[in-house]
Amino acid sequence: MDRRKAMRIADGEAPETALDPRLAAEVKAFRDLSEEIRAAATPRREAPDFEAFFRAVEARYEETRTASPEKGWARWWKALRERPLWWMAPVGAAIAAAALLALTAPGDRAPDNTCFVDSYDLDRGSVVIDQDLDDPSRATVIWFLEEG
Amino acid sequence: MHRRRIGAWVFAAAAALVLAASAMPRSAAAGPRAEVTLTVILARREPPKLHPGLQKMWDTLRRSFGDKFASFDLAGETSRRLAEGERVESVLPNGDRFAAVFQGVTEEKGLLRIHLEMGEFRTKVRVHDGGVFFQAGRRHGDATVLIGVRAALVP
Repeated sequence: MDRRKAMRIADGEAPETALDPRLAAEVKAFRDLSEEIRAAATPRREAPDFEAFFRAVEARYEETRTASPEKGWARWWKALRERPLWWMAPVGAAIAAAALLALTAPGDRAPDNTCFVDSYDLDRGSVVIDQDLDDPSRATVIWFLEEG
Repeated sequence: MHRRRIGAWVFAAAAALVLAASAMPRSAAAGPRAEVTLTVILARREPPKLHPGLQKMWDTLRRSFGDKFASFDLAGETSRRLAEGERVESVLPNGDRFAAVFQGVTEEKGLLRIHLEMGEFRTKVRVHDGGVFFQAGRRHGDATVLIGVRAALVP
């Protein structure tokens, strides 16, 4: 009964006169509780401190970045070691292509000047074929010698 | 991981095929074409001379004519890319016309068939790709006319 009365007094519904100490303490406790509930239920008016949030994120990022021992080429090297197909596949393709080129391209070899004279036709004069079939670098000469 | 590995090998095979296709000779589809060059040279016993335009042929000239001539003058050079049956002609210093006709490539060894025509003189030869041979014997003043014929397949 005293607690209900104390609640009514704390809410201002009953007059606050001639309270005994126990009732006064109850009223005070209810008032404190009401104040706490009101404070918790009332939304904050100030904006959250995003600046502090981003400062903290940047500080963490910088700390992680400088602490990492693998930077630049080291990171690439580690990635290549962990995934050998990244370099094995293109290198294999390049070797295969180079082998095909070497087999199909003529290259810089000395030309083979071997010449096969199948036939000749002339009304007058004579023809002499000067060639050395043992030396393919030597060019064949077809001498056409006119009469007289 | 397994699918990624298969993908990498497929990529490698495709890259190799593309590179190989680009390296293959392209003459198969359109028929062979040859670049035939006629080099007209006036050769004399002396004085020793080599025309600057003949420097690239010096080794061939020395091996073929070194015991006969010491002076080599360039009288003219004509070059043409020929399809089968086409000809390249050159007028010699004595007024004669000299022609080389590309007659295709032999199936077995890939030799280039060349027919030569000069007045009533005709001859048929087969040469290797890039090979050089000479026709010689006509006189012009105190010089002997040498005609170098170089035939090379055009990729």
